[in-house]
Amino acid sequence: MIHYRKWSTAAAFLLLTVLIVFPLLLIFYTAIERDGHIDLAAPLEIIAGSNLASVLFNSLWLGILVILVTTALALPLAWIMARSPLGRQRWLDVVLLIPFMTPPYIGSMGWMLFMQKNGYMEQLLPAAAAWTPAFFSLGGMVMIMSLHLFPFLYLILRNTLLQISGSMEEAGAVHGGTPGYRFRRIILPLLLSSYAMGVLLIFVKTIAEFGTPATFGRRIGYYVMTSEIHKYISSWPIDFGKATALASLLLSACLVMWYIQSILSSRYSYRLTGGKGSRKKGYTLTGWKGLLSWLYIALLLLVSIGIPYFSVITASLLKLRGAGIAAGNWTFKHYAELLQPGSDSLEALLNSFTLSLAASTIAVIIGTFLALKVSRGQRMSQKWIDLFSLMPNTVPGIVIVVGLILFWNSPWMPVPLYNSYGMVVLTYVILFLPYTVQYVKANYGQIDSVLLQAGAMAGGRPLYVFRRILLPLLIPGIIAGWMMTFTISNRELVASLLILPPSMQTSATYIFAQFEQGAVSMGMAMAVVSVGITTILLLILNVLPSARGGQKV
Amino acid sequence: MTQITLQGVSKSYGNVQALKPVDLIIPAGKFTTLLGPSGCGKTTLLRLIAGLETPDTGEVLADGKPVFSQQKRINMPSHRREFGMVFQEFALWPHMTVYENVAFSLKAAGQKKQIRESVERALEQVRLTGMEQRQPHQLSGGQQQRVAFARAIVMQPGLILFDEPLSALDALLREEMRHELMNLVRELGITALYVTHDQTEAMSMSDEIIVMQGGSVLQRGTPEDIYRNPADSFVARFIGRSNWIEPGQSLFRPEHGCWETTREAGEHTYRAIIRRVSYMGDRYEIEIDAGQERIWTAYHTQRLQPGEEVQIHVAPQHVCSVASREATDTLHSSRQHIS
Repeated sequence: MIHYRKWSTAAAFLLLTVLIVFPLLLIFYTAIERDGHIDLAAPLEIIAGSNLASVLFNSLWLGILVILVTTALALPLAWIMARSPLGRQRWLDVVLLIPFMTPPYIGSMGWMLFMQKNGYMEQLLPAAAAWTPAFFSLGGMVMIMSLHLFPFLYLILRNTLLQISGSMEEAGAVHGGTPGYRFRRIILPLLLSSYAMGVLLIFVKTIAEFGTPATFGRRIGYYVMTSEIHKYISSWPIDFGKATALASLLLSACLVMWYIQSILSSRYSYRLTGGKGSRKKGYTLTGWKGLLSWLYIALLLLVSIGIPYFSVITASLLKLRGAGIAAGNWTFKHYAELLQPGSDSLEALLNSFTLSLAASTIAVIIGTFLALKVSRGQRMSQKWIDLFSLMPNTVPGIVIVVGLILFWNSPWMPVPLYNSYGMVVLTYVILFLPYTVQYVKANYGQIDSVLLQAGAMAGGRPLYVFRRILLPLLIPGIIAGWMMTFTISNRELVASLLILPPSMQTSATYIFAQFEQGAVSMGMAMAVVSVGITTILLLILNVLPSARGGQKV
Repeated sequence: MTQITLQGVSKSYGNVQALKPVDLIIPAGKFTTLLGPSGCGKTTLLRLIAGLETPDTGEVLADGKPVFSQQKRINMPSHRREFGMVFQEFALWPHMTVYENVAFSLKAAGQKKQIRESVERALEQVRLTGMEQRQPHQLSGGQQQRVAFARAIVMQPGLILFDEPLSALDALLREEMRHELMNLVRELGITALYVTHDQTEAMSMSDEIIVMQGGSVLQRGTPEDIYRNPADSFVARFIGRSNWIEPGQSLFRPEHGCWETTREAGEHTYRAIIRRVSYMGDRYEIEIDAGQERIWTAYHTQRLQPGEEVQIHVAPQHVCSVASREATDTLHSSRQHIS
């Protein structure tokens, strides 16, 4: 047993080093190495020397604005859902996840189609032509990104509000606090630590995002770090110096944010589940308050889901783009064309499926192994494995991809994986490994170790106990990890753009290319098919735990 | 029937010595209980025997054969020791039916034939016939307890280890299961080693009780022995109520305090003032102050008035002396020989 533990720990470290740690270190090294000697200031010099400082500033400014807008959107919603009868509408929780599950590039495309000159907004309401051009600005970009990210902050805030038990507020009321005073002195301080964490993650996600900057940002000429990194490694003149300089800065920023966040969460989080007294404080929202709440939610759903999906679906169904929304201009022929056997589009769709299938299967095996190694994370080695395997979640996808290109495409690399099918699979596996690790780890944490001891006491050999007791109990986590990896890699854009072998397309790159080239209908039909299938899968995944309800693990 | 012998077995976690070196025999076919407050080392001792923890020193023998020996570098893993065990929270596998839970050890041992017969016999013994296809979460607490017990006996082990098996049940069910467990163990004639912090459980079920505290064994004996002649002031305090005559040295039990003199030779008589009277339904508990900071409890059939002055009489055979804690410590100074 002890032998096994040593060997498997060594294997886990080797795996993580080769797959994740080394490629990331290589970014730093490439950024600071110049003609064989090390110059730590090199990235800053490159950025100061070219006009990249404004790009840096753009990213940070975007992050701050998105924080403000997501807060404005999420806080009232969290309050309504945690403290009113509306919170009992379980379906709302699932629906509210849709914006977050929608790939940002598709959401942006939807908005662009809606707001552009002669877009659907102007077709529905010609007078809107006066102000639609104003949407194509930083304000519009912030709005699109906030509408994508707000569910994330909402979930964090709502869960904290739910945990702040009603009795804490009741105690405040009994001791003479007015509602305003109670909010200020009880709710707010308890909420603040989770809000800070949520906001940091929103910031990291915003500066790490690629989809919206690559579509909407490029249209309005607002360039950020991710879009510039993409530019320097994909279009001529290729400049790895600038790309790695930016990537190393982005990487550092995210790691610092992540570090602050982990300190915050360990120091300033209160144990809020107040034992048995954790009843929900139910406000009854009657009259205008109830109406206002419903109105708010309806409006939020309209802009975050309604408009982008309306545009995408409409675009995929219009016979002639120029004719616009009109009777007799509807058709399914784009779908027929899309799914025609032998077509590029069907091939791209199938490529996505097979790549994702391979990636999710491999990711689940590696992820389960790592999650079991992390176990309950008490030892130092377990903490490091945990840290490294969750790294791809902390580090922006484009940074990981840059690292992987540097590593696998380097002249001294003996394994000829680069520019092959396998390289794409490997990239997906690395990018989405954290999902399986987290799901299986959470699942494993719920399994009382006494169940395994009971297996040993009943005479089961370690392998037998693993096969008959541990593995079956881990199945829910493994399935969740598999499905999540499968759906996310199906929509993955940045790695597909940068890593795919020249002749190969996936559904994401197909959508991107069609949109760029003006073949909007085909691109959007692909978006509907690809997002439709994967969203249904994700929704099933979200419903699963409650369907499993009876079988408590 | 298996006899367990421990020789110089000890265990530390970091700087905390959970179990000081102990020599102990768990006699074959007897119901032995390890009793003590939480953190006394009783569960550690049980888990060392089970093989779920590894001792730092010493030897553990089952019927004379070592299952652990630090010197001979033997450490048989749990699954080869062939003991049964009932866990605190039952530890039923939630993804298996009752049948599969009980059949686990038979299948793990590679047995092919007569699995169904063995499982059915075990379930019959715990009165769960017909429940084979239920999932554990469909059972009541008492039924889950019975499945856990059936699982432990299906291989007909020589020894069953019980780790506070009744603590997850409510008070009423606990009493019912106590009788049932005791009867089953007696019927099967296996050696049972039972861990609990509940003195009522220990007193009513055991052939022998081993009282532990702070990683050491303080006393072992029949329940009567331990109650009547506690060897140590801690034992006296932990089991039953004690009225201390000389703090830490001599005491009597509340039920031995008489309100009227028995006129026996050497009878002890004390003057006391009634401080508090509590009605318990079957009797009154009277708290009396006998001076010199001696607050005692006595029982009466009628209500008495606080402030009243009374006399309390104790027959000489009911006054027991215990060795003071310091004396006990030197007695067990190096290694605890209890057999």
